[in-house]
Amino acid sequence: MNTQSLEINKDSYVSFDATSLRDLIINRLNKNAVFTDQNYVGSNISNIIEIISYSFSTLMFYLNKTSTESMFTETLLYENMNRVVKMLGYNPLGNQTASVSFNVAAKDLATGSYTIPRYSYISLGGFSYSFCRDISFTKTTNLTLENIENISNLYRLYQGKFIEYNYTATGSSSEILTLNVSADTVIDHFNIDVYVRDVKTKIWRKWERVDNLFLYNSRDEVYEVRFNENKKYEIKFGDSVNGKKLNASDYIAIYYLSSAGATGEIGAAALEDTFLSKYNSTNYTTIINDTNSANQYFLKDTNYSNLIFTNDSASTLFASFDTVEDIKNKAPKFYKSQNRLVTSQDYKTFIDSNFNNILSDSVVKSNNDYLASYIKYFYDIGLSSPHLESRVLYNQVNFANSCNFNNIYIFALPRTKNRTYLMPSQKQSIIDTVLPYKTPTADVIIADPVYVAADFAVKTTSTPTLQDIDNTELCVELDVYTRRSNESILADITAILSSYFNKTVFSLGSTINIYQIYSDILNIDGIKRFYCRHKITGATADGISLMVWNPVYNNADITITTQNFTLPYFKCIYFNNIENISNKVVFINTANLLQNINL
Amino acid sequence: MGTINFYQNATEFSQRNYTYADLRLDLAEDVIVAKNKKSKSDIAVDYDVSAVRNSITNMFGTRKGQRPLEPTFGINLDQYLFEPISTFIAQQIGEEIKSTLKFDDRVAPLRIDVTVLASEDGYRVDLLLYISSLGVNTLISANLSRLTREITIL
Repeated sequence: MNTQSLEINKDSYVSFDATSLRDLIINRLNKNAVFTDQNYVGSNISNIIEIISYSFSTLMFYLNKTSTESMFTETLLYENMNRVVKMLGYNPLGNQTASVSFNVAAKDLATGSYTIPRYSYISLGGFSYSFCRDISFTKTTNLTLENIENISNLYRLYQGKFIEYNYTATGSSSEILTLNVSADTVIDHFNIDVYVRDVKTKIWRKWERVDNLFLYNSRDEVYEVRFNENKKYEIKFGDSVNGKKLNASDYIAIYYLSSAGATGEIGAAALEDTFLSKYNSTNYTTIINDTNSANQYFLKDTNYSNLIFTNDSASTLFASFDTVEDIKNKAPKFYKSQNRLVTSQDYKTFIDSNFNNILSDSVVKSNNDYLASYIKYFYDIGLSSPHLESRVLYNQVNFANSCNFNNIYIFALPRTKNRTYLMPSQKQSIIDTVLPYKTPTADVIIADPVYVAADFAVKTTSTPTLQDIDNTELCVELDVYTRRSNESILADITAILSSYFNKTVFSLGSTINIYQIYSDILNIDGIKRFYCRHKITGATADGISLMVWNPVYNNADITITTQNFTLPYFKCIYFNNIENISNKVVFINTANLLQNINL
Repeated sequence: MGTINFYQNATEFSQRNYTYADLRLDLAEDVIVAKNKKSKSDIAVDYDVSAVRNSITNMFGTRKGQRPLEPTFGINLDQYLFEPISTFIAQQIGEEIKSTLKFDDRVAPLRIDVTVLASEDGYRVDLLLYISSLGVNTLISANLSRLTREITIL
């Protein structure tokens, strides 16, 4: 028998595409000499060869794609990425609802201690803000209207309303239940509470949410929450080795916060003229009674309307779930930190993961870095006692202990559209959350960023002043042939500046690329050239000349630049008064050079 | 490494008495008589003129771009079915067929007749081809129907 080995290596299949496989088959058939018509494109055999080759190529494409999708660095599909990082123990973040700090006053309420029960809510305009835990306060005076100092601005209301979800346990080891809610329900990642009614004792107990059951013993009443590959929440219980196992027929009540998403964000003072409402659901009253171990005195139904709420600042912004890119970025760092906070990067990863809903950016610095840059900055601008600077002192008094050399400073930028600082409740929340994971000797202090403003200004003297801003205008020479209106061009300029400076999410220590802004504005259809001009001296600077200053210390920290620059890590920049930029822009029609049009 | 016997049939057919061989498209079973061997069943094969006719028939049935690895192969005769039925269009169809026959260099067209079938709202194509390597002529006829929008090989 005449036999011949295949002339291809075992792994050569990966190098074939449809054309090369077709050629190989034709080549083999030619050697065979039985068929001849494989060489004529119209023949039947040629058609069949092509079908086989093309099918092979298509299958190889999907095989390669599937193989690639199993790689952490290559995967592009959320489903796959979520599964891959499960092996690293990383739980991708789900949606995070907006939250707001509040002030509360008690009106016509007798003196005494009270507790606002968890899940009580305030309704405003189609959505709600809820308490996620019991809040106790004391009314100390007989005043008709008393501001409740001990909870004002210390706690937060979370956008959404709690929904009860019931489940009966099967009693299997490591039992997992999936919250089967409708696809359009947005659940807040950090507000999923689980209560278990033991089938034997018939008493409800609140179980504790933990990062990993592996760290707990057989009697701990704990559970894990995971945002899974289908973007549903899985709740996993123990197996009586790591975490307590559920008994068969144990009754589970899950309370999750159902958010309205970005539409639930509110501005300052939105809580005025609203009232607290009592929460109710199938098992709520029984659960509250069973879990009230401290014998708290809950508000009576008639007392809810005695509390008057206001909010000084806007809510934080709604944050969407981790994208594939987010997970790619966070998961290795999380794995590296092993759930312990030792290095600055550990702190940053932990804080960015857990407080994505309230922080738009954060920077973690050691005591040395803090002194060498942040405190030095205040010395440099002329303060003789930087530790008495208002924001520094405020954080020091509220969050630091007497020993200062072991502090970890976290510069935290709130996720709001306004230039504000974190509320004390938010700072305390970060400190409390970090506590179990950090080294005992390191104290965490949340520091506030330094906001600096930017505006067009031309340098005329060695010492710039804020007067230069008022005296500077942006002159825009229009293209002779443009048919665009001045308003339309102005809108484009404003959009560029807004997208560059006044973003929804600010960042710390950013690099300001003036050349890029210059290029973007120059690319606007209808603009021939533009420059900044001092109205009094007539001095001009081609393109963009920016004044950058600290509004709090505007005589000391002020500079004018036409070059790219990078801010120090504790500074955040915004464009000054961008809403009224039309007052600063002058359009020059080059067809009628003498005619300047002031908007 | 495993081996595949590609050459068994080649030995049997080494003294072949045909010039062209193509698979029959219905993949039917047929009895093949191999040299010095007993007859056996195998996939049906079209030889010589039948093989060439397969090629020309497939040409009529394939639109350009339909085959991913041979995108220029085929003929778009159905585009003419939306034009008014006329001798002018018939001539264009003839030219198109003539230019497409270049894909098979075994045949040379002797006559290409495209007749207007006004009563049937279409055309009849008669293609007389000379297969030089075999020294024979073959006639292929097809109907192009505007009503059914089909090309039927007769």
